[in-house]
Amino acid sequence: MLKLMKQYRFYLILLLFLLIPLLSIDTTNRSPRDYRFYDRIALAITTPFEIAIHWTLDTVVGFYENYISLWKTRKENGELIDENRKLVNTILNLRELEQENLRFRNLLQFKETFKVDTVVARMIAKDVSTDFRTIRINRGKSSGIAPNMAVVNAEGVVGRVLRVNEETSDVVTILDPLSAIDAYILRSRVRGIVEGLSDTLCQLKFALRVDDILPGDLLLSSGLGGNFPKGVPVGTVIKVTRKSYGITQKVEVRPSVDFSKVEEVMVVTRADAAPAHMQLFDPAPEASPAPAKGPAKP
Amino acid sequence: MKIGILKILNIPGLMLIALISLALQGTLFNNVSLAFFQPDVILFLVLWLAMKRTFAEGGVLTLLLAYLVELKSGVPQGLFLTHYMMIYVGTRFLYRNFRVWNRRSLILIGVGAAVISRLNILFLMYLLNKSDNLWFHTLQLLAPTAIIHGILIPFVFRFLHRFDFLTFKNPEAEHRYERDFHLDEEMI
Repeated sequence: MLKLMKQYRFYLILLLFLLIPLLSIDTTNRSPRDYRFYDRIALAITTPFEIAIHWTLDTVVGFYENYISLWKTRKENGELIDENRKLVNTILNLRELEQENLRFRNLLQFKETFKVDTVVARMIAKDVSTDFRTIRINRGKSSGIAPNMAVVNAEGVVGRVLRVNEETSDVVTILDPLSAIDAYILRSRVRGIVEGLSDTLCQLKFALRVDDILPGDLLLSSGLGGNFPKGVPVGTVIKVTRKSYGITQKVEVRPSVDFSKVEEVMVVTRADAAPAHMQLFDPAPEASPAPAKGPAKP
Repeated sequence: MKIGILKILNIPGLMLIALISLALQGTLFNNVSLAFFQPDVILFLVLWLAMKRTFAEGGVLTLLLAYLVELKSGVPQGLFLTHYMMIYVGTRFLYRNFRVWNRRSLILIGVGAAVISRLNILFLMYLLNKSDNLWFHTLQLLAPTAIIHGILIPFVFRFLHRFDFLTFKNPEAEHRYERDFHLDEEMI
């Protein structure tokens, strides 16, 4: 037996190498796959590296922007320029603070409008693969975050939590090809599923060919499933392609959220079904006769 | 003694390189336009392992690297394990049977591996019935990633060669060290 195993060692190892991945492959739908204990161990080892590298990059960029670019000027113009540098630094810091303030104010306004409990988180990394578009945020189980929770920002829907660790969570953005969110067109109430298409676009699926959809139409989350509050902007229709045959039409959607500029997000830990937000985006007469002003621009 | 310690450090060192690369991939390329130029460092490492390590060692390390990528990505479970193992076995087969070793062939390997890698992911997603939204993206990124992999592969392989040399994984390094050691003894 041992001799036989030695003789066919190569083929046995090859079989093992091919079997392990095939057995581990997940053929079910993208259900939230939580971290297993060995995932957590690996994450505990790797996350500090990620944070350290992120911090180093931030520091280097900050150092370059705040010091090196001004160094030559200081040399040429002496003390006055040095003073000027300090003022410029202060102004830049204040502007940054102002921008941050604005972003947080928008987030707060969103939270108040939609009557939801949220946890504010900062994006710390993106998916290492170019084909998938998840992001990692700096809040996890210790902040009360759980898989499947909705993730939004002041502009609209960002995605949902895929899996959580103690201090970090992975969020599947709506741009991810495996993401799916139930949404409806504000103007015509047509419903469909928004799925990721590319780095900047989504598509509305399962909208019938006869459905009334026009470029410029605003898509809102339907609130089905209970994770997302109803009426959060998902995106805007930019292209509608109808063929003379078939039962559905092809609808391309530009997300409301500019993912290249996402810094802070809010994880909805409890979505309330309060009607307040319905008044914002729902001009339906039974919901509200006079729509109020909303936090996000349609 | 020194050789032994450095040899042991080779695998953790390789893992550290992979981790740093993944962290850089996850932070530096956080921009839509930069995604076109994002190299798959793990692909380079898998190619290196397929060419320079024993079948068992390279295979185990490939599985470990693929697991690390899965940990840092939102892919369906097991996709990268299967993908990188297919790349590993395929490269190993090709390398053993059609050995051509110069700079041009290396660039060709880089370009070919990048193209096959993208198509392989698409193929696996197709088998999982989840490829609908990936076609366009794959076609869009096929040429830029192939070019960037072709450009980078000589530099990455030179770095890995140097790394293996320093950690005495390269047999030539050990021979040279022993030769220098004997020369020193003769001088004494």
